[in-house]
Parts: sequence; structure tokens; C-alpha cells
Amino acid sequence: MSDARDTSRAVLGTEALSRHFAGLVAVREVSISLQQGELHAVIGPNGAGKTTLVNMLSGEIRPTAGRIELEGRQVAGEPAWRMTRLGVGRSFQRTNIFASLSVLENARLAAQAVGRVRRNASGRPWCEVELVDRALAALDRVGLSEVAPRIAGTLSHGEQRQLEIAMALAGEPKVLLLDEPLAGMGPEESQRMTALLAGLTRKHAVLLIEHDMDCVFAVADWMTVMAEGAVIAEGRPDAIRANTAVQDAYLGGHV
Amino acid sequence: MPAPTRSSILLEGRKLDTYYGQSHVLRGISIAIRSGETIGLMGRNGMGKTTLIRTLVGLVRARRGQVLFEGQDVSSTPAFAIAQRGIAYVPEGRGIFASLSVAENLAIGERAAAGAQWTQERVLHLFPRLAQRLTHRGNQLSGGEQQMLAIGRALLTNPRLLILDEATEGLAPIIRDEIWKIVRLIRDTGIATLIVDKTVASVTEIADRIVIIVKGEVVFEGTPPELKVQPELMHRHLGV
Repeated sequence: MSDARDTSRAVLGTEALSRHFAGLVAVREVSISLQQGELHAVIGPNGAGKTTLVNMLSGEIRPTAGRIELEGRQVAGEPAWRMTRLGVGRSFQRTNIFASLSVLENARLAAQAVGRVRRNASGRPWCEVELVDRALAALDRVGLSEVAPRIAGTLSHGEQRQLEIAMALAGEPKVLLLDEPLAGMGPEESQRMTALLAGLTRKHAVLLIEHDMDCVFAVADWMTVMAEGAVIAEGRPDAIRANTAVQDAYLGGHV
Repeated sequence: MPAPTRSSILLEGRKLDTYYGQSHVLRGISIAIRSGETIGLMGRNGMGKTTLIRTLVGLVRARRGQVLFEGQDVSSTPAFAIAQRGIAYVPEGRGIFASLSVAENLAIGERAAAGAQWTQERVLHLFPRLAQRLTHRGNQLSGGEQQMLAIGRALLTNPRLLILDEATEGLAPIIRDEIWKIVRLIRDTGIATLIVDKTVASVTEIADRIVIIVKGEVVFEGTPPELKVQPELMHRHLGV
């Protein structure tokens, strides 16, 4: 793969994006872009500002300064529900599902919550059957179709993480923001999730925060490395792996 | 490594059956941890590792079976009283006080005793990052620093047994290495440690004995070399 990056298919981008918390600069003038069909991994030490960046992109928190563009439209400061309807889906570091509802109900609620599509391609309103179809399609993509009737709280940890991604997919997002989807997973679950992530870029631009370097280097097309709120490196995985500043700040012996 | 002798056993669970409501989580499980020993407790998610720990430290009561500390039955002893006997538990998720400063978090753990091995000075020497952030609140720390604070606070209770549940989860690779290095240093001071962690290579490198549990039952107990010669068992129960 060439070191040059095709940036003509930018879906989501930031320009000098910053966020301050009282005296602390959590994110400092970060400029990145997500391309259609690309998995863009953001790595960095704990406290580097990665989750704060995702929280701004998903509308959870407002930036202190800078721009966020979604398909050319300025969206910085839009609330989370609006970002969801504009096509930004996300998962969280800690699993966020409705534990007492069935797997299917979780995915169906996520499909319904987007609410952006009120009519189908024929101009008819979406009905329950179509919401269920979308939910089932999302469950199928993450490999949870067979457990659709089960109560979500009874799933294994790995399956709950897969369900959370299915809930993001059920909203048919243009952009997927995934915050440590492998957290707490055992080796087999991690391998299954890595395979799932590799297949997501067919339909979505994906931003991935993850500490599992086996996964990141297996699936990333492009990487951004953050430390102390700022971008310290970006490039293709091989270049990042060879970058001594990144090794010192983050990778250590894991190269 | 020989089996633990009765006299050297620090903490023991005998035929423990623990339930959450109707859910039968631990099924007649027995485990013994002796003074100065490092045990790696392993198994897939949902197999009962954290429930076993919570049962041993008194946070969950077994419906059947016994927990003994130095041979004394502590099955009905409150968790705080078990902790005071010399067990420190660093739970998954760290459990630090988010609104208190690093210094305050450490002070809460400190158990002053004449000739105590672990003092705040020694803990800050072990974790120089914490020394730089003494006035910062818990929620202003990075994940790695929070983990260091949780371990440091546990050490200040001067435990004879330190229990670490997923201490390296969610940490950057370089910080994980640092945590493992610190765990080795702690082990070398003679404190017994019970470690739950998914990093099989690191656990088998540091532990004297490995215990693998599946659905609330022990399916393997032995030394790391004894485990490593059973790749089929490792694949079946640990997924590696």
C-alpha cells in the first residue's frame, strides 16, 4: 500500500479541535479526517484525550474551540441525539445495553431511536416490521442472530460488546466511533471482534480507539497517535510501528 | 511446586457454593493460597473468578462451604474485618474515590503500625507518577495512574495477601508493562498475591501456581510449566 493517503472521500473531519476542562487541556488543536471505507485507529496512552475526542465527535460534549465537519457540514456543538440522526453511531468503553431486554429489543430500540428515516424508499412510513428487519440485519452482521430472543444481560461479556456494535449499526450510520470494543475480552473473543471490525469498513467510515495492538495493527488503514491531548504522529500502521516517538510514548516493547 | 502445606496456608476456600439469586455461580470450589505465594486465577469471562474473590473477602456470602484465614473460619466475618486481618483487594474498575485527591485516597488506605513495611513514602517511591500528582483528584488521573493509585492504596494497608482483579485491563501497552513490573516487585517483597488477568503470557510468567475455573469449578491447578505442556487445555479453557 502506498504511503500516500487518498483524502478525497472524507466523511468526518476536525480542524484545530480543542477541549478544556477547567485548567486542563484534554484535547489540543486536533485535526484528523475519516475517509469512507477506511478504518482509522486513534491510539495513545491513558489520559491522552482519545475518549474526549470521541465524545466531541459524537456530540456528548461541546468543543471549546475548533471545527467538526460531517460531509462538509459544520456540526461542532450539535447534541448527541442530533449527531446520531446525522449518521454518527458510537459504542462506549463500558458496555451500554439494556440488560433486562432481549437482544432483539435492544437492536430494535437503537433502530427506532435514530428516527432520521421516517419513510422508506417507496415513501411509505417505516413500520415495526421494517424496524425489526433493520435490527435483525444489524445482529446478523455481528453474528448474534441466533441469540436474538435471549435477555441481553445473560450474554457473555464478548457478546454484549458485539451487541453494542449491533445497536450502533442498527441506526445505519455513515460513521462509527468505537471506544475500546475489545476491553475486557479474552483471546477468542478478541479474535472474533477483530474479524468483525475488519468487515465494517465496507459500509462505514470507522474510528477505532483500542489498546489491543494485535487488533489495531491487523485492521487499521490509517493511524493517529495522541499524547497529552495532541497528535504526535499519524500515518500508515507500518510507519507508526517504526516511529520511535510512538514507541517511547506508548508501544514500549509491543512493536 | 509442592502442594500447600496446612500450616502455611493463609487464605482458603473450602467447597464453596455461591449463588446470585437462582444463579449457581460457584459449585463446590476449593482454593488455598499460602504465605508469599503468587496465584494466577484464570478462566473465560463469566466463569466465576470475580465471584470467587468476592466470596473469599466476604463481599458475597457462600451458601455452602467455608472460608478460612490462617485456619480460622471467617465465613461469617464482615468484609472489613477480613480486610483488617491482612487482605487488600484491588477490584476490577479500580474503585478509587474520584472526588478525593491522590493524597487523600492514599491516606484512607494507610494503616499505621509500628514497623509497617509500606508507608506513603515507600508507595510514592514505587509510583513516582503519583508523587507528581498528589493534589490531583482521582477523576483527573489517567487510567494507568488510577490503577497505580488503587494498588498503592492497597499496599498502604500493609496486606499479607494482595488481590488484583484485571489490573491491566484498558491500559496502554507501555503502562501494562509498568504494572507487571510493579507486581513483580511487590511479589518479591513476600506479599502473597492472587491475580486475575487475561494476559496469559504475563500471568504464567509471574505466578507460582495457576488455577483455571470453568462454570464455578476448578478444572486445572498446577504450575505454569505443567499448564504449558497442555496446549489443548489452554486452548479449551483460555482460548489461546
